Parts: sequence; structure tokens; C-alpha cells
Amino acid sequence: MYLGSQLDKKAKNAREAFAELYEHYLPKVFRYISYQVGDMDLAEDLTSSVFEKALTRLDSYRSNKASFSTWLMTVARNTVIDHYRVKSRKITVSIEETFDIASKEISPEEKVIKKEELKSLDTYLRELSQQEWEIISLKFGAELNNREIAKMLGLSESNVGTKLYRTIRKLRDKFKE
Amino acid sequence: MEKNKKSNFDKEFSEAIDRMVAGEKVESYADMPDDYQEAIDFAQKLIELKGAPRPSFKAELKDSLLSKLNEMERERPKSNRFWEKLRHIVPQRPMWRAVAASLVVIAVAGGVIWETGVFTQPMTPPSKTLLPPLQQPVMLEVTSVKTTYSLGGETEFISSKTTVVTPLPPQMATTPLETEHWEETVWYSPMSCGKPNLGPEGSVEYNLIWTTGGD
Repeated sequence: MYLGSQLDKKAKNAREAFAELYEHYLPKVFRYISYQVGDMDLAEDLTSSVFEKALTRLDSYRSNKASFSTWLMTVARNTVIDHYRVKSRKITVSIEETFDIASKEISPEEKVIKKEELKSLDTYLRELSQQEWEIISLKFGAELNNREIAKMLGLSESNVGTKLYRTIRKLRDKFKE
Repeated sequence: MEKNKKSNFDKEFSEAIDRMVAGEKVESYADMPDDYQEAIDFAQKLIELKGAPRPSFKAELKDSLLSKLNEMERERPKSNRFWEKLRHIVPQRPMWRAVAASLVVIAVAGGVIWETGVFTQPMTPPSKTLLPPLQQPVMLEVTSVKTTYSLGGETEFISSKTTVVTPLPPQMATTPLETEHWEETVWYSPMSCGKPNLGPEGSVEYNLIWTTGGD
């Protein structure tokens, strides 16, 4: 839908259209990849690669087949999968370094607590199955809805909803322990 | 019954998460079981994990991609004189608000008569004729049967006159009439990218996205 509104109504040329799409989707692609790889530098490299691929393959996008976000996130997912084909899955940098705690308004004490929480979350996220991790990344990183996630992972929409709930509950239970 | 209830809670839960991810504050979910409520509260921590790309990375990548896009735009007409020719062929008219498109055909070898219904299979088979080789591109104006469009929807383009195209097979490209920079305004699917050949009884489908604003 976003692509449609951008290309059909607003954009006057390819350059402007691409720039607008870039602004809208860069944070989502970057966050999705960050969840997946847990390394800021690697996330940047892979994000660059995703957008280069998207630019050269934009002609292959069909709006009647999938939403633009699903298409772009599929490019992102395949890029991550390709990366891990070459290199086995190993997260070397703590998630707290990758994710900006961003809470610039909070006190130093609160920041310390947040950092501790993030460390724990980092550990628990690593213990998730590949599919659970994927659902969390696509939901909280890429900001996809359940229908889009279902399409990408070959699951039913209701199944994604159930798995999302169970995964969050699992994380919460570990966090409580 | 229990299963339905659970499924409804899962759905409500997902909707609440989507609202939170979109930046909305979710407060009212009192009808949900405690487990769900606690999971929603916990999801807030995952949302706080939201990182953002470094501004310098964002700016550098944008510059690099836009340069690449410029290169692609520059290379396209150079590598394909067909597009360059079209720029001179397409008439410079004031904007035609009713959607219309012009179709340009370059003949390569053979001969064919086209009848009404350019983009669809003709109702009656086209008759063949032998004409002297045609070196110049032929432009055919066609009008869409629709006045409004939905994203991904189909339309049919109709020509009010019969056009003789020779030789066969012709190579085709389309452009809206109202544009001066047609390459920027018509995007092709891979299937129709470039110049598809059209046989005597053939039809061709284009997957076009109009980027002209406001209509």
C-alpha cells in the first residue's frame, strides 16, 4: 500500500520515490537485521546490501502479489540467511551495544537498570528457536503485521498470533525467574 | 468453546502488540486473562529494544543508493537507443487528465494488421497483409476503458483506429501521453521489460505503474 501511494500519487520521479521509500523502510530493515545478527557493524553491512538489491530488483516487485514491506523484508530475510550460509550463526556482540537504549531522558540509575534488563533479554532471545526469534524480529524489528509474517514464514495468520503470544510469554517467564 | 476464546485472546493480543509497535499507548485490555495482560506489559520491554541506524550510516547509504539510481537512469538510454528515440517521438502536449496512453511500435520484420483492442487478444483474428518494410516507429494512441484505478488492478486499452504495422514482429513500448520524461513515469514488470515481440495473433500485457501525481 505504501509503495502504491508513493508511486501512484506523490512521487514525481524515481529518485524522489526511492528516497521516500528509503526513509520509511530503512529503520525497519535495520532493526529487523539487528535483531537477527546482534552486531551493529554487520547489521549496517547487511542493511546496505538489502537496499542495493532492492534498488536493482525493484522491477521484479509486483504489487498484486505482496505488499512492498513483505517484499522488502523477504529480501532482508534472504540476505540474512545467505550471510549465515557462509558463516555459522554466532552472535559475538552483545545486543545492548547494538540497540541504542535511546532513553536519553532517563536518569543514570534507571539507565543501569535498563542495561541489566537488556543483558538478560539478550540472553533469553538467544535461547529462542529460530522460528520464535524470526517472529520476534519481524514483529518488533520490521514492524510487520501477523498476515505479513504468516506470508513470509509459510504459517497461518492465527498460528503467528499464537506463536507470538507464546514466545513473549516464554521470554517473560524467563525474565521473572 | 475454550479454543475459540483462546483464539480471540490471541487475536486481541496481536492487535494490542501491533498498536504498541506503531507507537500507540495500549491501556484497555482488562477483559483479557492475566497471562495475556502480563505478556502485553512485557512486550513493552521488547519495544524499548528498538534501535535506530546511526545518522551517518543512514546519510551515507542514501547518497550511495541515489548515486547508483542516477547511474542506472543514465545508463538505460545509452544502452538502449530505442528509449532515446521515443523521447523525440512522444508529443509534448499539455497534460491529458483523462487517462490515455500512447503506444509506440517499432517494426523489425514481417507484417501485421492490428485491430481494436491493442493489449488484449482480438475478437477476430487479424488479417495479414504485405506492405513495404516500415523503418519508422509507428505511434498508436490508445485509451483506457477505466477512468479510475486501484492498485494492482487491470485495465484494457482500446484504439479507435486500425493500425498497420510492418514488418513483423514489431517491438513495443508504452508511455503515458502527458509525460515528458517517460522513462521515469512508466515502470515495467520483468515480463514486459524492454521490447517484447508481438506475432500476428499475439497480445502483450504490460504491468505499468503511473507515477504522475494527483490523479
